[in-house]
Amino acid sequence: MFDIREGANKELILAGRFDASQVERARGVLMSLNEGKIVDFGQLDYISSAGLGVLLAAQKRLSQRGQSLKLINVNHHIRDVFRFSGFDQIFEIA
Amino acid sequence: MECGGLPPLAAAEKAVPRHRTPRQLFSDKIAGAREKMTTPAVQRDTSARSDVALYALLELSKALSSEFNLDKLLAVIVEKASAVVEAEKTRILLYDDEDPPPDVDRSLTNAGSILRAPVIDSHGKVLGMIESVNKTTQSSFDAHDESLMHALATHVAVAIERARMTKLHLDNQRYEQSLRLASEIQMRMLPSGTVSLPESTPFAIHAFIRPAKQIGGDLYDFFWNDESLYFCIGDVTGKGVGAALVMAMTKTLFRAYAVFQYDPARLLSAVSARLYEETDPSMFVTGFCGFLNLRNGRLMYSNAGHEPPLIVRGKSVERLASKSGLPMGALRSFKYVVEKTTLKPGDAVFLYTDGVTDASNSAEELFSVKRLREVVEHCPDSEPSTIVSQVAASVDRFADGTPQADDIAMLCVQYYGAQRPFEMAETFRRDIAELEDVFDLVERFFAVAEVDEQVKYAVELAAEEIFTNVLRHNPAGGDRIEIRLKLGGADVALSLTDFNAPPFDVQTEAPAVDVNKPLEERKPGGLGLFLVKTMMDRVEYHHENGNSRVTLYKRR
Repeated sequence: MFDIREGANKELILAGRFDASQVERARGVLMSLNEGKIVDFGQLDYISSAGLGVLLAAQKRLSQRGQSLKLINVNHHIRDVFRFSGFDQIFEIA
Repeated sequence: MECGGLPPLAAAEKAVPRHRTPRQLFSDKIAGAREKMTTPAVQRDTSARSDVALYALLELSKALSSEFNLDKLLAVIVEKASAVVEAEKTRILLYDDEDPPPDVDRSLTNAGSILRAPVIDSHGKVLGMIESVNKTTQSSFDAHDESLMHALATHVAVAIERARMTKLHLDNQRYEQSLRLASEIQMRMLPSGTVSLPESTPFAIHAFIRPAKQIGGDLYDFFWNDESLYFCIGDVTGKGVGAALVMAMTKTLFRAYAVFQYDPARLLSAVSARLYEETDPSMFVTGFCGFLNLRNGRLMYSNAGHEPPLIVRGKSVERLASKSGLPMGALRSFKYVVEKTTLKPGDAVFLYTDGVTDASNSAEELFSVKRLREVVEHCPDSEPSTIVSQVAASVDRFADGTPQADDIAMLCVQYYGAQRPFEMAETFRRDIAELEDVFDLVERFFAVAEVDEQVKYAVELAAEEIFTNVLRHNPAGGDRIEIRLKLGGADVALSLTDFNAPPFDVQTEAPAVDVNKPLEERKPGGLGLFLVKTMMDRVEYHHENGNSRVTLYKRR
């Protein structure tokens, strides 16, 4: 199960498992952002390359506007995945 | 064959001109021989005697060429001898295998009513004598009798030598047979191969023994209960029957004491003391023994002058450090040292005797510990049967035909911890919606297989990425896809099989990924497979029988 919703402080909350079958839902939200956002990974257990692909596309689009996503509460497994893929260099991870 | 003037029957026949009968020839020949050999003496008409003597000689010859049993042969000789020299009786006296008495007579003696000739073998050794007494037809034995006696004595010598050689040959055969029996007994004491264990046993073990000759001096032993596994390996100095006997004794001692001894150092001391008492002072036995706590992996061990075993922990192969004591049996009492280490699930211990490291090739190089470590390091997994067979094959390749000089023994134990290997598999449709069920399979697998979270994540991710990859590259395939998860002694194996599919080697056909490119230049393509290759330890791809299979391994 996967959920992407706005939190109390206008941050984006990702929850559950962000796998290949959930890509469309996430894309809808992430590709319609017009300004930078904090994305709270605190409730996200799992991400795969599909999820990374969507985040990459969103970040590229925002970067053209001088904006970016900031990721917080990233668990240690997902942090590793970001590190292996070099995404820790293109995202600000708190 | 020399026989003092009387040719063997067969040779005589060859010389017969056609119109002569053998009987006539013998008479002539004997007459001729008599003329040559006798000292001037009364020449009487001996034709009547000649017939009896002739037949006796004929029968004697037959017996000599056909009878191999010494006793029977000597009986025939004695009987026929009396007929030939016309004596009341004849006897043959044989000395034992020891040297004959120093004052033995080496020449024929004729004392009138006693005629005696020494029996001398082809090396000039006096074996005994043949003696006839009381000539029946005359008052004393004559020169003719002397020649006959001389001939008989020679025949006896030949017969004895031949009978003894035959016995030796039979004895050798019997000895060979008992060696074969001893070898069988030894091999039964050392069961080899992979030991078949019940499902829940938290370890695997594989043993290998190959003596250099029929019987050897290497040994090993092991037994276990719910709590612990005991194992040992040993090597008796020396070779041959003596070493083999000490080997059997040592193994029995080890087993007898290990049953109620949990301290490996005390075990070595006990075995050593008994060996000291029971064996020759020159016999030593090197040995190594260990007790593995199956609940927590703690290994207690002690070493008596033996090669330290190798410990395999994942990719690393190290010698198990040990303060080695003297070989067993060297001193009346010796205090060995006990040492400890801990095995994690998947770790293995490889024990061996110096027949492995001392194996040599034609260039007189030794296999050595260095090479042994390399072979073990390159083993694809830490399963005992794998390690042992790889080492055995490597030693044989290295020796390349040079005969094995020393006994070779190997014993390998792999600790599984709480978990024995098992596997789970399921087939899926080519539909992204199936991904949920793929995860479900992985979830069920890890509910049983206890591994680190990190391992679980890597396998989960790999399952998704490979599955989606197959969907992307072969969406039209008609068959289902099988995903199989296997818990091995030291790793988890994830394999995905696409039946009746074209080859797609994930190692070579995925697009390259440069993780250092800046944001604008990063592309999402290939990221999935890149992550798989990074997070899993090993990738294997096979295309066999039309099926495309990729297998990924992650160490537990």
